[in-house]
Amino acid sequence: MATLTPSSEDTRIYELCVLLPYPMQPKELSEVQNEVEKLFEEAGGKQVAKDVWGRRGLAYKIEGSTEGIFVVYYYDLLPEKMEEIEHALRIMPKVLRHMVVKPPKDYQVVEFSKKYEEWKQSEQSAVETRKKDQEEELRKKMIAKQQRQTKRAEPAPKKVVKEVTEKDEGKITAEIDKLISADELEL
Amino acid sequence: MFNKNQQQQRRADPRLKKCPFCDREVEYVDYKDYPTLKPYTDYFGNIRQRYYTGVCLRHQKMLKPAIERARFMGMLAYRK
Repeated sequence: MATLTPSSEDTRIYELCVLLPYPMQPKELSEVQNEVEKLFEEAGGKQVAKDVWGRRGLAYKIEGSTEGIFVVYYYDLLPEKMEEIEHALRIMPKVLRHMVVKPPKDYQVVEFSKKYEEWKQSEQSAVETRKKDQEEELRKKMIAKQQRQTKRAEPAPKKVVKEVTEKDEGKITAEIDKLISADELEL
Repeated sequence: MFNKNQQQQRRADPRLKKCPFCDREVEYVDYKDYPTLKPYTDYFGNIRQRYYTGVCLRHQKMLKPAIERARFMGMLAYRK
């Protein structure tokens, strides 16, 4: 977006941010926006840029509403007229909050409505990836545990089986008999 | 006890932290930029000290009014 520079030496660039309540019919919304724009037109201001953010959650309740619509205007205006406009904005019933800021020199207009949505999507994807990673780790742990348990369970019975085969028993008994018989003779 | 102390990770030296705004050569912190402001407030909504975030004094001074403006417009919380 283009940088903001006042058209003449007398005028300044002003940035106006307006907060409107969210449950609002589109007709009313356009009416309120037209009213605000009319104020500036009567004061002889030129609109440089406009950014409608749309529905957004609020950090705390403002006049009973938990969600709001932000609208950002950039106007080229004479500084003397700003006071009247501020006064009129304060009286307007549908405007929850408004703020006039003088942006710094060579300020570049950024469309924060787009930026915010992109950020939200990236945040969601980050959360999903984190969940997936956690699930994968859990699975790996479970598989490793199962393998360990099977290893422990398998070798123990094999040894027992080997020791108590019928052939072995026969061999052992034969050897013992031999020994006993030999010993008896010597004694 | 000795073994335990050895196992614990050492904390990074806070003096070695770099200012994230200086890397991007930021000249103005915008109050409308919620994603960048959010990490500089803690759970209770207070502004994080720059000792913990590593922001330089110049950018911390830009950050403060930006967060205060965002609070007024209802984007950030005053107190949770």
